[in-house]
Amino acid sequence: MNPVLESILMEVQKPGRYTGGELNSVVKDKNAVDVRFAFCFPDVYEVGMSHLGMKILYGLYNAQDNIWCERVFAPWTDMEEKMRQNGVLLYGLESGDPIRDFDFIGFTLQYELSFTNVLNMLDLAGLPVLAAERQGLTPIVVAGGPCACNPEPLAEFVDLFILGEGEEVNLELTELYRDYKKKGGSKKDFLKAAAQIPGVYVPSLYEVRYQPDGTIEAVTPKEGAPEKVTKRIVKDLDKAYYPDTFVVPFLDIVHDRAMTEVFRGCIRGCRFCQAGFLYRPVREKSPDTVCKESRALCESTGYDEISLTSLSTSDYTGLPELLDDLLDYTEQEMVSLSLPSLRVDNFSPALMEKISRVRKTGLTFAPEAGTQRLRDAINKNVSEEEILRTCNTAFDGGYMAVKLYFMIGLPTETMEDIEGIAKLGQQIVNLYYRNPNKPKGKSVAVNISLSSFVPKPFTPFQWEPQDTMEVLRQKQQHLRDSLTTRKVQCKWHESMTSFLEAVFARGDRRLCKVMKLAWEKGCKFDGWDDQFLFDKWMEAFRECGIDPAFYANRRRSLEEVLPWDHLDFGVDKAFLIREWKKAQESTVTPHCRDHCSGCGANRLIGGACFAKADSGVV
Amino acid sequence: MQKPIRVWFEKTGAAIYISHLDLNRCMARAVRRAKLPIWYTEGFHPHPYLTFPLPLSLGVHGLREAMDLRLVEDMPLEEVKERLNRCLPQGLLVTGVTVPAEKAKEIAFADYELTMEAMGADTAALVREALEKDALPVEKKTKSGVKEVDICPHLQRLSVEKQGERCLVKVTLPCGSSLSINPSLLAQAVTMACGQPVKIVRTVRLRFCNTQMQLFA
Ligand code: SF4
Repeated sequence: MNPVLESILMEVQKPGRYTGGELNSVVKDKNAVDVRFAFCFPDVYEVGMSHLGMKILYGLYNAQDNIWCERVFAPWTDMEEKMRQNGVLLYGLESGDPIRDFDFIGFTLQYELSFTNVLNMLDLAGLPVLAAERQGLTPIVVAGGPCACNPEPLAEFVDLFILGEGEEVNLELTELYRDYKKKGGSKKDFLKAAAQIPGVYVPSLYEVRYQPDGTIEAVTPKEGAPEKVTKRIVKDLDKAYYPDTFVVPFLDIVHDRAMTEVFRGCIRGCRFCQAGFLYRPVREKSPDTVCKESRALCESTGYDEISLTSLSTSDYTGLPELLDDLLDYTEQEMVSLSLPSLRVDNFSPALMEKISRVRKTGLTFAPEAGTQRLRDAINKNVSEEEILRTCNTAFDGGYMAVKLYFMIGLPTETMEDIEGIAKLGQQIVNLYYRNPNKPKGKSVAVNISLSSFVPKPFTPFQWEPQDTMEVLRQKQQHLRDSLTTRKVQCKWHESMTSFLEAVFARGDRRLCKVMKLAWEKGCKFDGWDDQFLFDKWMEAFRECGIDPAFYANRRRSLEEVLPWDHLDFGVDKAFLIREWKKAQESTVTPHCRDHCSGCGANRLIGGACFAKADSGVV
Repeated sequence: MQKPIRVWFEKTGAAIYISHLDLNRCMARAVRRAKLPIWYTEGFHPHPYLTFPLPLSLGVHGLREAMDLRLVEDMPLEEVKERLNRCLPQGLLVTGVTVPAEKAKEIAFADYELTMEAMGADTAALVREALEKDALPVEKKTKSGVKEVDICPHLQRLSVEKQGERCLVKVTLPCGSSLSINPSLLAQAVTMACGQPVKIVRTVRLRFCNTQMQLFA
């Protein structure tokens, strides 16, 4: 290890974040590869190492002989200070080499509040944050992940964005790059050629013009770049690459377990949920593949817990079959199985029984809204009766704590809907005390976790204003006033971070200068309450002459050109408009397996999503 | 059957930054991967039962550390070693596996090699000068607050070797349950005695010994 690094490691918290050398981390001979890729997660090690997408791409790249992919995380503030003092540049954990000298620097954008960390990491790497000031071919700065669906607020910093799933397009991109590197091509020419790869968006090849009222007039491609860039997907998950091993951290990270993805996409279509639209259409893995992958991961990592992940694991058609196979293995090997994102409505006693063989922790549900009317408006197809029935089953099974997730500030919400949250909590408490099978002499705890609604691109609510921070606070207060029992506890998040999230989620390129200024003023780790500097952000907006409310709190007309209209995530705008209208009327839309609503995403797989479903509108 | 075994290992390189708690988890995973037939705790979430006779602080190199396990099936000790080594990350290396001869509570001393440095000064001279003193008081944190302790009587088998501006101190320190002196206190003692900041840049725990100051087995 580099002696300067060694001398600072003992002076920072959790030095294990910065050493590399974990089990299964990949070390290659740098002279034997021709592309070096720095995979950057713009948050701390413990958060980034928990992220499945990074594990998949890390494995995929390193499975190629000529590519070496290394991991990079945002150093925590104490480490950053030491690095800057001692002239240590941001380095890859595997080699310890500065990433400035790599071919690619790739960021995964999981949440808007990590954007300033992207700038900070580029700066720590010793690179100019502005793409235009990085003139050589290398390093090419790329970014992907869900927030790349509206990458405009980062358009001036990142050279190119990858839309959708990266398994195929990333390799096509490195292939193209290799040619340019060999023939000594320029960055400009490379980017022009890269823009021709489906799923690659090069922001510098698009010109944005604005109207006098500040909205966008038009986005025009230049130099042969496509009018619309369509996201990429992997068609067959059974044939797609999936890692048979994970890097096993020494530190206790957020999700420290084996994870197997059971499907991508979601059949539900909850109207507030961006992931539900971004990852369409649903593609399942066969139970056999899931079982094989899970076993391989446990064997190679020594993990004693597997989690079956997806947006809604109980919707997995192969779940009963999979659980039968997998539970045999896990029980024998003393591995525990966890099933996150279970839904209320298809939570049958039989499934309950299987899960209770798995692990008895608290139960979590996400009704999201307090009244049936509002749940219908957001298309959260869960009825009060189902919630209560499931809670009762859970109490029968010995559960004593229930956690409920709600959102406030949803479109069409009234104070009555807020009161509905408190009422539902109270009903669950009553239900517990009426249940004859409840654990003797024990009390019940209903924990309500409240988040503020953030309108997101590519959802039916993309035109909706976010409630102002003041209105959100009033609603929080109203809920607090409506609670009548101590058995229901309520927690919520500061509305300031949700406000900033709303600004960037639907922002345009003009926000780049705000972001740069805010970062220069010291903003980073905005997702961390103890690091978030709201006043600095507001200062930056003021100094740039930009009103954040224009992005967060303004109702957009259905005709407005949205900053992400030139990007195509498979879901038609006409479908989103239909869904938006149904929301105004509190009308629900059946889930995809029940009835295809013709969102358009099936074009990406070239056929119907489900053999059984009606073809609907195509 | 339950047969206790003692695994001797080195903890060096990047592995010195693994905290004791994290080491426990890391070893448990290695034991699982190695498919060692060892005893698991009972209960809802069984995990491999392992104990460490003398935990090592974060940042310290250990050359003869110990971990105790219980085999539930016979397996040649050499095979235990080989299987574990195939499953451990770099920096952790099993050097031998034995049947424990002594109980963990017999551990009373540990041998250290400390590389010390006083910026811009001849560290060896400073350390030697400090060791001439009759007493070396330090402030030691205990459960009942900060206490002044003279470490002079506790420094045994001591030698100081000049290494350029730095120096290498070899010393045996008590590390039992009744009395334990952390090597960092030596830097503090020298600093206080000479009025010049001296720090330890590298700490190596070579081995630990029993109450007779003989190699713990
Ligand atoms: S095409 Fe139909 S079935 Fe497929 S995702 Fe869209 S609405 Fe669902």
